Amino acid sequence: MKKRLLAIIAGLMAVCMMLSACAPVGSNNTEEPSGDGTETGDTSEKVIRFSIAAEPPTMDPQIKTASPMAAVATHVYEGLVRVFDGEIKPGMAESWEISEDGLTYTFHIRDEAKWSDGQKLTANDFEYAFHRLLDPAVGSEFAYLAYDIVGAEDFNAGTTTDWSTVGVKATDEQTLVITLRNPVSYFLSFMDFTLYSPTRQDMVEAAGASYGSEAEYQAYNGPYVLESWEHDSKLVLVKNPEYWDAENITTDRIEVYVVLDANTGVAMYDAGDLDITDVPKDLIPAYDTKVFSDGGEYFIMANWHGMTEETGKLLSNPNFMKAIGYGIDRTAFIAATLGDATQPATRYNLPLLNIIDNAEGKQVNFNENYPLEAYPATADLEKAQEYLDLALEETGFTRETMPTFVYACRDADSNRLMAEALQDMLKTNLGINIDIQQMEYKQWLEIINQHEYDLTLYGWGPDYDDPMTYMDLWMQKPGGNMANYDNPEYTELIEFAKNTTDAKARADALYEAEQILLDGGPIVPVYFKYVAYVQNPDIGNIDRPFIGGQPKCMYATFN
Amino acid sequence: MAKYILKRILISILTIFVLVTITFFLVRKLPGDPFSSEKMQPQIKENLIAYYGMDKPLLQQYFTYLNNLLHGDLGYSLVYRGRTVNAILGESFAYSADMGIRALLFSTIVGLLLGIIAALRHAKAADYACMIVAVIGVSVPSFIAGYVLQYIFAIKLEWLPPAQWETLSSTIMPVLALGLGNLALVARLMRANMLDVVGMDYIKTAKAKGLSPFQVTTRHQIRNAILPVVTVMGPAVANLLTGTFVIEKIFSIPGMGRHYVSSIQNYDYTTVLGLTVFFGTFLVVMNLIVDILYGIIDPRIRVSK
Amino acid sequence: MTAESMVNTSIPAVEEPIPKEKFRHVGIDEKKMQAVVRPRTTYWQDAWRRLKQNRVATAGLILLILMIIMAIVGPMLTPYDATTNYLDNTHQPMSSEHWFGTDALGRDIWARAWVGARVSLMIGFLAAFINAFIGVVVGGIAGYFGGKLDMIIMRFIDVMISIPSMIFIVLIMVIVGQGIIPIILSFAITGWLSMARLVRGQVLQLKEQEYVMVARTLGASAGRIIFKHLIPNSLGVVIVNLTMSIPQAIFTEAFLSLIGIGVKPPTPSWGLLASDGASVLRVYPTELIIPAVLISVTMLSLNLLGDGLRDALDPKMRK
Repeated sequence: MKKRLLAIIAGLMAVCMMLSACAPVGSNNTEEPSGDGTETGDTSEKVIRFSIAAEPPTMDPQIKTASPMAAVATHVYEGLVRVFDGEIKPGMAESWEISEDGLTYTFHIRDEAKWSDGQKLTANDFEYAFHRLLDPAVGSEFAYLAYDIVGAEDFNAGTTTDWSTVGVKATDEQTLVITLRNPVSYFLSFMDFTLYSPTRQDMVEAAGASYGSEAEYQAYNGPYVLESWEHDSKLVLVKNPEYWDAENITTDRIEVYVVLDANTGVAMYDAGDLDITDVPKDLIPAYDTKVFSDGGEYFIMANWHGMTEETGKLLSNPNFMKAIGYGIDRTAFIAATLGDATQPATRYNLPLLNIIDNAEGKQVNFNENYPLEAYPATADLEKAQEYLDLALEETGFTRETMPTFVYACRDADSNRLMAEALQDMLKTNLGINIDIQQMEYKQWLEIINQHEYDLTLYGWGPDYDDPMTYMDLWMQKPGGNMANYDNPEYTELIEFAKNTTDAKARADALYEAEQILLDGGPIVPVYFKYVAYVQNPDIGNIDRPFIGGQPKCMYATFN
Repeated sequence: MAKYILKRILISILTIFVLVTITFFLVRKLPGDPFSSEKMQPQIKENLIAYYGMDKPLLQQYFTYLNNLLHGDLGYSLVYRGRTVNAILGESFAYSADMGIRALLFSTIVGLLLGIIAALRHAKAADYACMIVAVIGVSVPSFIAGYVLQYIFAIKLEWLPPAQWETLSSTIMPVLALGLGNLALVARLMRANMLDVVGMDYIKTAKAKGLSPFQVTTRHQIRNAILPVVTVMGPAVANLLTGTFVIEKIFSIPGMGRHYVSSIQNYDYTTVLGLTVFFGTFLVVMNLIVDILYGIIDPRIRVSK
Repeated sequence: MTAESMVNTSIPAVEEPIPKEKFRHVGIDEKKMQAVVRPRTTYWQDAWRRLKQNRVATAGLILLILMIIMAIVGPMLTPYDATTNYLDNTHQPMSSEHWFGTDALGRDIWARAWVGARVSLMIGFLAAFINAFIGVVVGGIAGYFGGKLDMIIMRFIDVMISIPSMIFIVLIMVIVGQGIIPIILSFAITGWLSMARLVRGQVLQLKEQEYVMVARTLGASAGRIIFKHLIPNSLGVVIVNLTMSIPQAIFTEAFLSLIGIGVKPPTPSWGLLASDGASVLRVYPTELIIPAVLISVTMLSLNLLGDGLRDALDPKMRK
């Protein structure tokens, strides 16, 4: 008996030992602490360490544009142009010409363009990248962003497999010609997107389905090379010696940490383990924070048809939506749920958006040139009551017979808190009852796509720097848009804006459409999201564009 | 015995098969699909569904999955493009197992010690002190313990690094937070068993034979009391080694627990299935080992019946 | 022949040293015929007596009862309710006005804590009892019949334990909607598994005992043996495990709140308060400490009570 016991205990120990032998991660790292060089006083190497809130889904530039991925991709890949601080600079293309009608772009790839393994980078690598982006068999999630190119939509839908019908051609090793089906004023800045960065056919074919999943499968053409990728934990970027502008790249090494909990990120910043990290709302007063906009515009979205006939009747009533718009106190709402960095949204278009409204092709700020204040930042209860009375009169309800609205709330972040605050405001200020249903993200998306909700808080981030990225959401489309909004006048204006070459008329049309949308459309703007973050005060000149919001660290200055 | 083991292994395989089948069809019942997102376009979604072979009939997909599973291939993740589920499990399990084994060793050793001390000093101050530690251990949810530990030792006192799994010092807090519950469980169980055993005839015999109290305690009392503790460790091992979402999130550790939550949130079907198969196999093997051990230790339980 | 007539006839009338009037007729009480010297105590009375003697366990019981009482009356002691927002009065510290302070939306945490107690305790108790019921029945059947049936049930349990319970929770919420009932339901689907294992083990042991064999020899049905002998004798283990599974349910609800699919907003629960509090720990530590203490004290009282019950219900300790 005793011997058996001993044998069992010994056996269990052996199992434990075996298991620990399979787990070398911790012990390995014990011997060589992280950030070699950063803390050991090696001052010659300039390092920036920042956090991202999720694991990048892939490093395959054509597949996704998730923001944790973009934060890395912008450093290791480079498109035809590079945008820094809102300025479009030459990237892989040394120069370019745009045809008179704005439809044909001819890019000249620079002579010294090279891949990180020393191979020459040619226009063919770009043509291959566009082919990959649009090939339906590749399954790129953002291929639709390239639909402005001639033939792209048909090719991506598989209606044609003839690549020559698509308007992307490498006419020689150094020249890439892109033809559009309609003029797109922001097309040039689009070319900064990693979605359109060049791709090496031989690398893709060698890696097969695994392309993009590990650091070593890709060749890089940006200022940095992805040296290592510890999944769910850390990515290390080192300077790419083959990069054409390597001498102007100041930061030698970038370490990107995957930190799920923002509070943990701040603790790591305090401990000196990070240089840049986001700050959750309640810690903002305790830190000297900076803010950036990730371009997120958040609004209460109503299902135009409602879940039931009753709710639909009210939700499609312009005065009812206005009552909600005047009845919520955006400032108090933001202070309680999001923190002071965020701005109240009194109109639909993000204040940072630019538009080209002149023949010279110069970008101007949209909101400054086309001012609009649809709703006040704080509640205007008098007006709210007026509109509610009107709405009730028009729809035949009374305050007592008003139905309860189903509010679909997604799981993450502070969504529950925001839903509770809205619920209370609507109840106290207007007597409107909402029933909050909180659910998983995917289920929430499904419910919105199936129009099985009355109200929800929805957010939209820009794909490019032009109001169109927000405005075409509410066009009529088969199966209905997310809000079931059905307004031919609105659709017509957007269609016009999409096809006209007259920049001024286009801007005016978008302006008019925005006013229509806010005058009884299915949305009530609530806030423009700004994120507070801390940055090591010794580091400067880091750009955080509002499209994506990822820090661009290549030209940083160090004290 | 060999026949019994063979039979049990066959049944275990059947169990895993049933597990795979149920889970496979269950995840597909979740509303929505893995490819939806705010910006998803219908055409793009079609391309993606075709890319992952999900345009084929469900039964065909099921048999393809089973066939791949037989070859040890768990397929590609639907979220992390190009990464195999095998790789995801392998990499994250290394961290989880590392953390789990440390937590297991720490909690078992300290738990046993506390239990033994408490039993030997029964109804004295030391007993109460040990049991207070044990009861607090089970009374505090691990996520609260994690946040509070991080707050005190990393933020207020700055003794330990706040997160990451790198240096030895960075492993202390997560292991503590993870092991606390198990520590308490072991300590309480050990104490109760020690007190149970003390009245047994063989202890009296040993004393009568003239063994010193120390020998009685170590050779007879502890050794006999430890057995039930070993048997409850089975599920504890499975749970500790396969990761804990909250602890991993608080301390930013790339373990397996986060995938349990995120794969379901993202409808990453293949990863959900992979994790389920992994955990199921782990558990079934553990149970098998415990059952066989039982048969060897205790002839009164005739497992082969 | 009745007892009365028997008595009458059996008393002989010999001489008459004692006058007959001095005798009083008492008859025979059938019940008293069986009387024993010591007052008879049932197993339960005995257990209750021993539990009362255990000061630690009594303290646990009192704490738990206090907690339940507070869950009932707590929200009535303050004029504030648990869901009304006061956005100009957020994150107030503890004060005479707001005993536990206010949260991010200016809601009174005292009110929320006790309304949350109702929710969490209800989830904990209901889930635990449903689990115990299913677990006892299934475990009892598996243990008693053994063989193939046992094997099938035990493998089924293996399968159920291995399926991530989040899948069930999400699916049930899709069907039933969000709220307390779906949470309890989804716990019920997976929560009984460990109880069933435990009861099965217990029954496996007990069914070899002499009294069960006697009952079987006397021709008792399987149902009678399971429900009259085996289950009552494993109740000790069951009740102890029950007190442990209540905290389990409360923890799980807390976890669901943390990942955003807990009870239906704006209803508070302890888990929800804790997950809200955890995010502001560095600035407003009391907002985590309050729910954490409430959860921990409840766990503590249940654990103490559970330990006491284990001792009290152990037949070996019966004197």
